[in-house]
Amino acid sequence: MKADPATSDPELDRDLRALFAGVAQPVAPASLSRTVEELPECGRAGLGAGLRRRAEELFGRPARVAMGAGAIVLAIAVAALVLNLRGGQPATSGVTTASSSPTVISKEAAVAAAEEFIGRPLGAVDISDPTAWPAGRYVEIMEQGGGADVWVDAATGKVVFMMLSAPMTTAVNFTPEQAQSAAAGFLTAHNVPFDGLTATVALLDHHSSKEYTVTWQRYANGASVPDMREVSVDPATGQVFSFMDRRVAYGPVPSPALGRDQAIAKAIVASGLSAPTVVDVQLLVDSSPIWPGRLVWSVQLSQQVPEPGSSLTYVSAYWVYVDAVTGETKITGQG
Amino acid sequence: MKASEITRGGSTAIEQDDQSDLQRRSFERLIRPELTSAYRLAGYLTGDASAAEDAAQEAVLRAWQAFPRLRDESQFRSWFQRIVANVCNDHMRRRRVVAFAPLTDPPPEPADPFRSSLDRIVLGRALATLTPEPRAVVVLRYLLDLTNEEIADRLRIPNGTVKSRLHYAFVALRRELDHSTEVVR
Repeated sequence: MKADPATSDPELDRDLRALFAGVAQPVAPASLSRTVEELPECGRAGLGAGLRRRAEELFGRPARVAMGAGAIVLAIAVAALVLNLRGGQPATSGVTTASSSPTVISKEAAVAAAEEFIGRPLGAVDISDPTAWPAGRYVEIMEQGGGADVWVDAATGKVVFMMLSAPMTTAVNFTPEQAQSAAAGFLTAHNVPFDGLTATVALLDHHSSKEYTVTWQRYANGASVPDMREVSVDPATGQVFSFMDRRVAYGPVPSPALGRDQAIAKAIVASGLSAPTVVDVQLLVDSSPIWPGRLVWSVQLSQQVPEPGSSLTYVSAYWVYVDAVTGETKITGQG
Repeated sequence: MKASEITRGGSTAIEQDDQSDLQRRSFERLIRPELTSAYRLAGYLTGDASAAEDAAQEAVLRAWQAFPRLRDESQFRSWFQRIVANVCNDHMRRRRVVAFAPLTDPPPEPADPFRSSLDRIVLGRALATLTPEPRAVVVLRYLLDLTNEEIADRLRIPNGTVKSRLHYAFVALRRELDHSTEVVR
């Protein structure tokens, strides 16, 4: 067995330790602090990050560890077994994409699906570890350098999320109608159905860039159900740069026993906030692991609260689920 | 992000504003304690204060861009060190300046803290003669006191490569030191 090279010359090892302990240790120049103070809007707050965060809300959060196809197969098989042990899927409604079939695609097939979807070959990629994905169903393929991020359903081989380089200007050269037309053309070209879904178009302003978001959402009994497509269009070029396809099986949607105002009141009590602002209220069929298949009021509240040890205040935000049938509450997020 | 011109399904410009602030604050909280360490690491990897400043700045920006992909904030330090090492590697690859500093040269400008520190010491000057790859391994080991496994993680190279680079570095340093001793004699 070879000796550890670092100890094969103990004198040099000691001298190197002394060298770094003894030399001057400069502190960071002020320019580095300024860099931190003047960060551009491109981190978690940025457009691409926002899209990704939204995808994570819908599909769960993957890990990013390159691994072989064999490990993927094993991970998916384990995930499928866990689902079966827990009693399987929620009741069916005829809407399916994310199959619980044990059939899984290989790493190579996932990359090929991603390449076909974006219409070009990918460069070097990082591939996610599906064991870290809550549902264990997706494979994330991220092109190194950030050119493309594609999530593929490991059972069906269908792309469920795609994000290409986001726009970098605030120019708006296309109307909302043109954006919707471009988005619809994209879905059609990729054989993604959206008949019977309600379309909305939003022009989002991210300060340094803008984005058209075209959403097709299915509603049942007044509630949004987990059957949605979302396409982002660059308002400057008219190009599609992001896509999400969320379809999960759900059962018959009951009528809510609780009204909107009753749900807000319950959410405020659950949050413990004294005088919150109601930021958002939605009636939906949950498709997250929190209350899958249940009809809930999703209520977001916020309130300015003092920052400890400071004269500043910060926004405390709460996300609360209120079961629209039973009235049960659950805090689903806080920040 | 400010209020959208058309609101998305009744949501949530305020939410996005709040999240932006929280994320920025979170990043600042994590990165500030790492700035000096990053600058030192970049300084000893590039051997040049100006390049170190550039590299550290670039690393901060890259980290900010990649922050959404950081799953576990407790891993921030090692994750950021990896970015710094990667940026320095890019810098050195672009320059491809193998810092050949003949041991008989006069000391450089004292304004550069990294060069002046190292050049006052024979071993420091020998270190500057290493090519970037083995030098990186030595700097990570002795400046940051990382194990071989941790060095492999930061540089994204196999553990065996760390050992071989360290071995090569030791041989090269010993050769330079012996040569220096002969010159002095």
